[in-house]
Amino acid sequence: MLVEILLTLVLALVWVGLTGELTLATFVVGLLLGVIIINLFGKRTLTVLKLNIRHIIPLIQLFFIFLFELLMANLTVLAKVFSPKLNIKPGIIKVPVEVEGPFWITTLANMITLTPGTLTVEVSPDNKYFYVHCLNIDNEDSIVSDIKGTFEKKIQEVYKP
Amino acid sequence: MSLFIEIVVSLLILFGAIFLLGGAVGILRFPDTYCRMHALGKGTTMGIICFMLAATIYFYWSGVGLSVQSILSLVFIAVSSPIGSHMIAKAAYHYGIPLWKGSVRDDLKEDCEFIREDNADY
Repeated sequence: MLVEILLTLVLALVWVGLTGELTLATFVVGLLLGVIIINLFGKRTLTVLKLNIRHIIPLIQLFFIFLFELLMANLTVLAKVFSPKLNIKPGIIKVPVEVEGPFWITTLANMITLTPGTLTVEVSPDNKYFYVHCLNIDNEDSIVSDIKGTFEKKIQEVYKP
Repeated sequence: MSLFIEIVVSLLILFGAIFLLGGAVGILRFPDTYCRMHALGKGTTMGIICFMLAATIYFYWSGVGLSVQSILSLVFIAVSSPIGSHMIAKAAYHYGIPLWKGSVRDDLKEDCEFIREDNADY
């Protein structure tokens, strides 16, 4: 219940931010919209998420890691794009994942997409494997250990506090 | 507005432009859809994030006020853009667009039929 109230407040604040004026009227409208949205979609999403108050700080950490990795990924791809000789060896590799739950699998897939030179193409039906397209698969082990070492560990820390 | 803020804003805009240019050049130079999505997905996300940050800082320091819209759009773009590139790559693969001939391996090929049958249920 507490999570639902918190999410409603967050939605109301997002609405206030989007309209750009901090008045009581917009806040109330945002609250109403939040209540409607949480009632329509909240139950299903929350049971899927199993989100908890304890998750909030690790989630924020995760967001900043995400931004940092995004920057690194960009510099790598930029170096590849502007290098005079196209030095790539692309291919799709199969990576086993141990993260559970639709939300966390989506998050991990997104983060893989934003790490240097990797792009999630497909998830196996039983959610056990990712098929990851790599720009350069000289060293497959290092790609897999990169994914499993940094992101998967961090995500597991978030949902198993 | 102080000189320092002006320099920061200019640098952010410059880097954003470089990232977007990288994305555009990547589309032209990379050989197949999948490699192009690498350049596109990352380059444009970072470019737009840089622009939004620059806009936020500039309008805050020039006295217009904190523009929450640009911060929110920054977050939404950072979260939704990788899903876009993932879906384009996935759709391209299932549509049958081949990998570049220089590609080294393709683990998805042998499992592809299985996954396609699974997706047909939806």
